[in-house]
Amino acid sequence: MATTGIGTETGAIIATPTPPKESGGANVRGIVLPLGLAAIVLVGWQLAVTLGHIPPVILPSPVSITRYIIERYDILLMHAVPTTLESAASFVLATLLGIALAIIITYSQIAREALYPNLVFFQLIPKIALAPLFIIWLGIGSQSRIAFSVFIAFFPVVIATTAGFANVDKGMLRLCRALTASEWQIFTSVRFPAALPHIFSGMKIAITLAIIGVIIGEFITAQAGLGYLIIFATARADTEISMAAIVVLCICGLLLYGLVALGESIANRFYSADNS
Amino acid sequence: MSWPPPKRAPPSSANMSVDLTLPLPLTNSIPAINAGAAPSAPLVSVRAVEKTYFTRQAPVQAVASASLDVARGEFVSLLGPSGCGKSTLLMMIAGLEQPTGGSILLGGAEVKKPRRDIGVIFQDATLLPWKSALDNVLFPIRILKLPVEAYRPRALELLNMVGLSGFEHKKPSELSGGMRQRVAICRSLIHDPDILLMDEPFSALDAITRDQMNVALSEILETYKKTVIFVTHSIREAAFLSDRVVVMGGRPSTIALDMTMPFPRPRRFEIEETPEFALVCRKLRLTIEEAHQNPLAVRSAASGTFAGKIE
Repeated sequence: MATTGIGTETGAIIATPTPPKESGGANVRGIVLPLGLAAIVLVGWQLAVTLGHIPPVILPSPVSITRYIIERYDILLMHAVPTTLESAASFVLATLLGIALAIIITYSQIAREALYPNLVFFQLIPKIALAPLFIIWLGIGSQSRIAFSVFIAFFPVVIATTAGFANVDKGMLRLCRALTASEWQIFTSVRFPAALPHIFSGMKIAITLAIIGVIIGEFITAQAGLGYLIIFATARADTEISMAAIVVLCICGLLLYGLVALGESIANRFYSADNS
Repeated sequence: MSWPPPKRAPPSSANMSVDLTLPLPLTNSIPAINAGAAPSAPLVSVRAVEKTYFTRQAPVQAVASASLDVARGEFVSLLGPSGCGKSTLLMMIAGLEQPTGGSILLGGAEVKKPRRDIGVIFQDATLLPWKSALDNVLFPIRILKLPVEAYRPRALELLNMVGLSGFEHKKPSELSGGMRQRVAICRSLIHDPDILLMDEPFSALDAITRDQMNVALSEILETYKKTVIFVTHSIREAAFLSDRVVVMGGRPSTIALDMTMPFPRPRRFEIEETPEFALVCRKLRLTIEEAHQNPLAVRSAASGTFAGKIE
């Protein structure tokens, strides 16, 4: 990993290979430390709830939440599916929109001057406040949740991708011009692959924002979904269901984030492959 | 240093056996020469070229009336301190910048934009960091839409010639600065350009690596005759590599001296220890100082030229 990624290049003049023994130790620590801390927090939580006699309505214990998830996985799964699918759809649309806008900003000076300040200004709006308006504009179906989610998720992709396109080595562009390369050749063989680490860092932020967008949409209006389940259970003071839904939501989020990370490593492998 | 000991470029006798014939003829090579122009006609002809940058405050003239002819197969260095316009002149010959006056002819045709029969090497290797050394060497082939497979053996030969066999599949981050610049040299030669334009290619390298690169480059060019225009601010480097050294200086900058190097080829490092070499370097240094009319520099010249310690 340390030597294959596109992103690991920056600044490294001479790659210093890490002795395997040392990196192995660091890897084990990198897994054990965070897991250990999480385990301590969970055990502390469990003890606090049991020994402190905290009522389940206020804070259910990790054990009872886990038991609920195992017993009622069918209901949770039923609600997890629309949330995950809508989040994924919003993320894909936000990524496409973000990259398209970044290309326009990169290649058109007029678009850059007209669009970029407005985009940044747009970012200052507390976008969550606009969520109910999307219901008015697009109705109570999934389209309004997806539209709202795209609306809050595309911004980091635009910014990161624009930065990535602009961050190309000027010497490399000059070399391409000296070789009489076309703008399209420069884009596909230099600009785009060079921007990939930036694009993926924008996409990783976008995926978390897309999930937030869908959940907010479900809070406002929905007939299914984890956001709907959380609101529904909380209204009935059924904290256990709420917490179980949040845990499942975390798992869905991890899954989607993992898919983006997987996409990144596939893209890196594709571009760094010896295809000569 | 963590990189392996630099492999010395193979001796010239081994070089002669390397097959560097092109798999396919390149289209768009310089027409006038191939069409039987007068053999004495220069390949590159710079005629009264001027370059003025129009800034917001006042126009700045970087190059004033520079004229220069380079014959086919010649190695000409443009020598001068930083900011003397030598790189600007080189970029104009490459077609990457336009002169504001005069003209530049390549084989009789005026240079208006970059041409595929020119290879350019910059100060930084500018390799694609996500591609292997071999893929980087083949990069011009992709851009020029030539058949990559046909050029692959040639790329391997070139890498072998600069002592990089075994490193073909390494990424630039796994190579040292000198190795990366050698990859860049291979990349500039892969499509067999008539002319190599080198813009301070070794100035980012340490002094020891730089000396090795100078020897390696002169060995490459013995095998593989090219017309080279080489920009440098190192007097020793210019004197060691060149057939002719052109000193640029003054404000606005112009050509102060055009001097033929009297050293025989093939050149080996030993020539730098000869009194003749020291004298040539002294002459070049004095010309640079004169061009800049810097009275402080005269003192350092008096003490610095002794025993060939020019740099």
